[in-house]
Amino acid sequence: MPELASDTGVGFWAMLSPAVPLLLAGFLCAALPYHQVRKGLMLLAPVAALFVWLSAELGSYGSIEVAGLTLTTMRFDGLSRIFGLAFVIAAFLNGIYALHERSRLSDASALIYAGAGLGAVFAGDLITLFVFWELAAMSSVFLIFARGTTSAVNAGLRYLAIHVASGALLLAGAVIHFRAVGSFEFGALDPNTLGGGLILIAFGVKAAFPLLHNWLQDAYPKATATGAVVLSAFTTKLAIYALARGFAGYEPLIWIGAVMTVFPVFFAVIENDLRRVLSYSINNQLGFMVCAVGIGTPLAINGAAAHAFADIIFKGLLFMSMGAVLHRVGTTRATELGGLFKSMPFTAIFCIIGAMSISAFPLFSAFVTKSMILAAVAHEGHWIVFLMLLFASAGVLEHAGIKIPYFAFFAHDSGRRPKEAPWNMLLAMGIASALCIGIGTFPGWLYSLLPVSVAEHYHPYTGEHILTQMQLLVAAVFAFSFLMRMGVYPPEKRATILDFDWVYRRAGHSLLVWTDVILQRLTGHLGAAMSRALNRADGYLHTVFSPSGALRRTVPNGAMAIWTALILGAALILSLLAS
Amino acid sequence: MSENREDINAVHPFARRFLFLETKGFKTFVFFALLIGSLALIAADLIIHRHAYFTFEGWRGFHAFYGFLAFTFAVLCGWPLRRLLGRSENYYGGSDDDA
Repeated sequence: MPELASDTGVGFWAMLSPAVPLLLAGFLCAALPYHQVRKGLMLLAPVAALFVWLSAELGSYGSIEVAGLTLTTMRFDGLSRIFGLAFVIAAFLNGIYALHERSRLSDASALIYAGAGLGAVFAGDLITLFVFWELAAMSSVFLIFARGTTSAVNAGLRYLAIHVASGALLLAGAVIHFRAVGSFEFGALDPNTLGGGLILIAFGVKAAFPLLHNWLQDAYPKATATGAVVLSAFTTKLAIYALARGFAGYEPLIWIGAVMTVFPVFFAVIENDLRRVLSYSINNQLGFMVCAVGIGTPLAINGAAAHAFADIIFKGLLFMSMGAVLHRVGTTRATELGGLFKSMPFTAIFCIIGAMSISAFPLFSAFVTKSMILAAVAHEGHWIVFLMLLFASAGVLEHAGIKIPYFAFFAHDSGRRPKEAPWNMLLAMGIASALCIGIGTFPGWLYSLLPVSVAEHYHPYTGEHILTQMQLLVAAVFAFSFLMRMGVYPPEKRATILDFDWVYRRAGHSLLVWTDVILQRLTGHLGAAMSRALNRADGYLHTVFSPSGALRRTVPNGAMAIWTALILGAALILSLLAS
Repeated sequence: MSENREDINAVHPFARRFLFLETKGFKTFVFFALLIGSLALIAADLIIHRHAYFTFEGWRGFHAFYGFLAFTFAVLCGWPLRRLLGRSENYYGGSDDDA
């Protein structure tokens, strides 16, 4: 029986992980057929988690002894504190946003997924991390399945396979790490060891590193309207937390992150599905955080944590606005949209606030968070990376700052006049918008939560920062206006845009089909050859042993007599010579 | 802008005051406002003293030119990229969910 170790010195609430209320509510929702009760739980559970978070004291609690191992379920320090709060806020906003939805499956999986995310963030050891890592994967896939279409189910299965594989890598890495150092403690890890390397790859899968990223663009746009909002908050940010915990200062992450910021820009320009554009945008923003983790200085780690916090809210807001469009119009294809501001003006305003936040306009959240990362990169003298991040900043303005609101709510009028989003969706978007502006305008409270204490606080609102950022943004928006006026902005078109997943979805699939055909043919040929050989052997045996066969003959034929005489003669000569 | 009565009724009351956003005149206004804004920000660079981490960053108007060029480059790359990577919607078999 697992035994709760006695964590003396603090109260019960301080020892409890904020994951507990969400997990309990999630499992309860799975059993409850009452819509109103489930919705009540979806709102109450995050509030309870916030209460637990507020009651928590810095330290490690909630130790459980299992099979001789001490597992720590509640490590409350600077890094887990800020990610934990962001997850609690996201869970609360998701609860409001999904109030209209009558789906026991979605309600339960959203809560369990959020609880698993929190459980992983507060895990003090690799085994606890693994348990919640896998629970997050298994609970979140139902948000994709809930869409109910064949392509959603297929995408969900691919998502599940990739994330379970990530968990398997994490477990294998943890065990190898344990054999090397004798501890499962989740702290700084050495990526140059086998165990550390496997764990890094496991984190990289969830963080959607380049070439490992396609599960994100594959699965998120196929989730339900509410499911994509929930998904956008936890998985990838959990990976950023894990990277910051385990691999801060690992230099290759700088370049991996820089590439992550740049490549999605090109895909997002030509992508027609606006929720897939947002998925590329997640990649782009994660790149900034991964890069900061690679830099590893206090400013960079603080920047990664602050930007993850801001991103959970503004990306959630953007997904909410597109979810509202999907809910009302039934599609998020840019080719089918346009002019929606006429009937969904509040959704349009909230979407624009999310767009301005992700683009890092002054007074909006990313302005005070992303700039910390750029400053950290510049401080360390990485000028190529700095230029890549600046390019990515212009790029994110293009696809998330302009393309999303412009093609959905303005541009060519599609003639569609859907109803405004339901009140609960508007409320969730309104709160998220207020947070985006609140963080951007008064960053002090967010800075007070940052994981690394620094003597000199970062000041985002300096004249030169405002000037350079506005130069970049205004000139980039002018470029959009200019390109549209010149008629050279690529029009939206219905198409599938190939990405690296072509390797396993098309080339890999074709290779499997080809191998199957070849094996079938080979089996056929082998069978025929075996059959021929057996027939031939049967023929020989028949020739020799059958009633009419050679052995039944009483009189040897001439050739046999000659051969027998020759062999006997040779044997006689040899024996004479030998003697 | 020619919204007939039926269209106006379909427009959200809050949105009616923003219908000018669709007019050609407003788009022209935005274009020139952005052009003048960009030039003004470059001009401000001559006045405001900046601390540059890198030499290139210290060039006057660097961020404006870089932002314009980066944005333009990313967008114009869309033409060859779509030709290279674009396939039919049913490329992976089965129609998409939003249809």
